[in-house]
Amino acid sequence: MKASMGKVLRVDLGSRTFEERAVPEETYRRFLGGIGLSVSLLYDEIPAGADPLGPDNVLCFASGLLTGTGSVMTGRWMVACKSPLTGGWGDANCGGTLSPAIKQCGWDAILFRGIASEPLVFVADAKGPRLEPAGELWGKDAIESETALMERYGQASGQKPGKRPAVATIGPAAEKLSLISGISNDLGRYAARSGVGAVMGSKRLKAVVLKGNRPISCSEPEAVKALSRSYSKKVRNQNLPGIVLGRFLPLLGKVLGASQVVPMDGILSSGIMKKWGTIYNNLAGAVNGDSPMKNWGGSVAEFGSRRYRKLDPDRIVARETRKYHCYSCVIGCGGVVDVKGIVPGATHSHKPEYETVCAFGPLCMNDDLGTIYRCNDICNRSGLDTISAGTTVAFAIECFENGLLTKVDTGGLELRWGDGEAIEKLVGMMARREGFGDVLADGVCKAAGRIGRGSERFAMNAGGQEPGMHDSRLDPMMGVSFSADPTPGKHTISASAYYNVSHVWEDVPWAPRVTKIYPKSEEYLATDREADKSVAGACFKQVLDAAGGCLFALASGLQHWKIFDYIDAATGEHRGALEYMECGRRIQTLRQLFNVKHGIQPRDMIMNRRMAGIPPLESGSLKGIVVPIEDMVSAYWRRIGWDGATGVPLAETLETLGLSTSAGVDKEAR
Amino acid sequence: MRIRVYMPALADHSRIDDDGFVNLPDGRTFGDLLSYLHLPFPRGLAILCMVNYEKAKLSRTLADGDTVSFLSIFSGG
Repeated sequence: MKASMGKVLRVDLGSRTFEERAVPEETYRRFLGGIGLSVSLLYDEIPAGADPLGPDNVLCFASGLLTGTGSVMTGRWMVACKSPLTGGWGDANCGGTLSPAIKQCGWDAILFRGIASEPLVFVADAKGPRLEPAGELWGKDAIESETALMERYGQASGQKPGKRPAVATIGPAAEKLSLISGISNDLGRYAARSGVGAVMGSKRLKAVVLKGNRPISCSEPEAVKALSRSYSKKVRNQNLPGIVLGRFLPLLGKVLGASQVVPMDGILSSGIMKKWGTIYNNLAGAVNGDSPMKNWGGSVAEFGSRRYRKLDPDRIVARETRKYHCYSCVIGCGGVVDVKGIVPGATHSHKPEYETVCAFGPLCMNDDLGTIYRCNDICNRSGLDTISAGTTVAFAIECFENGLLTKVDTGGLELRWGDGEAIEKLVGMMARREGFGDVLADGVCKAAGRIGRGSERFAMNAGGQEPGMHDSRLDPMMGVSFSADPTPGKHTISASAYYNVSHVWEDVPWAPRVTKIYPKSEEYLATDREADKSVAGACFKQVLDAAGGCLFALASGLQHWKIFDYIDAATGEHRGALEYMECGRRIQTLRQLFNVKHGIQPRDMIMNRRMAGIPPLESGSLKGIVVPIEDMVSAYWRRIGWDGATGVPLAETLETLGLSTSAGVDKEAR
Repeated sequence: MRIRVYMPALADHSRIDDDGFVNLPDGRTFGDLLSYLHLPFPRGLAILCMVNYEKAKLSRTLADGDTVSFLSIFSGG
């Protein structure tokens, strides 16, 4: 199919062999690419019961179907495997430059199985694919490793000058098999979730270096360019007036948290993203309740405006030395900040994302930006996922404050809310698996199991994964996503906040319309309408992740960033929105089937009760709120075509999607 | 003429129909629309509002099918 490369590469790290295999056209029609291609392959390739850190697990790097076709906002790469954190389907994705590089090497995906006998680096360039020793890199941090690999492969591979390789690498935390470690590219940007770094570390695969120059096909390049021009022009016009300062964001946050929800034109938010990136939410989220505080047990009433104002994004942007875009991005939310005098031994670092600021900030009741910069740097170098690491620190503090841990357990470290020095020290210990850090290095569930004493009640997670920094008591649909997505705990699947700006109903008649103001209270009901919004949001997100698209493009609105038109034009197949949404449902359902195959009980993935307001908060904007999460999850399961009691996909759904006979998946159809 | 309007939450939404449109007589300006909407903030904040995704003066004459959008943010990241 046009837009795809038509092939994947399988690499066996144990035998050091390669096999290039053609992918049937029908697979692309049914699963598109990216996450869809990944699950269509891994469902069969990973046997039931496989040890996530053993040789039978397969680590799949995949590009998006639209990547490289001339579309914009479609440069994200996907990594998928059986997650050692949840025991089920695991995936993570990231921007940067790796997604086009996979295709430019001639494949839509690269799959690694087996375990190498020594640390290796996978290289694909003009000389073809090969594995080379990486012993000298083992133990080096992700940024040092990528820098060394850039020097080694940058100009010496006989390709045109100036062409830089794309590198994905792991840091020492992943080498030490931390279950909350990710995979880095572009010097510290992460595909962070699901413990994908630990899987790469278990295979002794230190890095992937890609430097190809194959062309990427597109069926109707002029049509794709026209879509890109129209969208880019609108984004170009979105520039906030200079008088809009960070300190005004709490007011915007209050509007967002109001008792009425209004339809929004999401593209206007791109001006905000261009100015601050995701950290615009530091203040808005604190005020409206989006930012979980004190390990989800506190509120802004305790944290206070004096403290959250120290996290003003203007203070971070003031240190910004440059902004950057991922491949094919026209917004450019990324930035590099000057950290001289703040982070020992470093001059520059990636601007911390909102998730990082919240996880090491309000979640731990910390208001010190210096601590957040340093924790961000530790995580970017070692490979720890900042969301999971921050949540695990908050868990440990709450255990300590409640007497479940003492200084005897922590090696003398006193853990108190808001103690930046202790937070930073603990993150370093986790990264090195040193002392008490070893207890925490695999996330909250493993830590609770090791500590015992009833500590699991403080372990904020869904299905074993620590949740993103968006409070499900403000956005219950986010709670459904945390609890019911086959990769639990992710904040980037579906939420009311995303749905209302997505305008997916404009092309998808079955998706509930949001064209007029409605009471926020409707979002807390386990109705079919709310469930259908969750289903539409989840299916739409699968299409996005199959195409390599960015969530912030989705949030611009379908009326502007026309992903279905893009797929029509890039592939030339013109199948339309409804068929692509059916692909999304097929992908989502096969991800769920993967979990069932690997023994996951979907109901066990429902998030920690505190995240649903049990017990309710006693102060702040979310005071008293309880989310009927079990009923809402059941409604979502029913409306997507899964059993409402168990979450297992129904036989008729599998038949409709062409996925199954009794065993699970119809191989012939794929 | 029908104008698609995306308004802030605190505004009076009774002037927008169920599909998100406002009906105005032909020849009305952006400023006229803001007056009609009874927005709860000073007119100077019209700088946070766009007509067809471009900055617009209050004197700009609107046309059927135009889109008027106010600055919005969503939670995410």
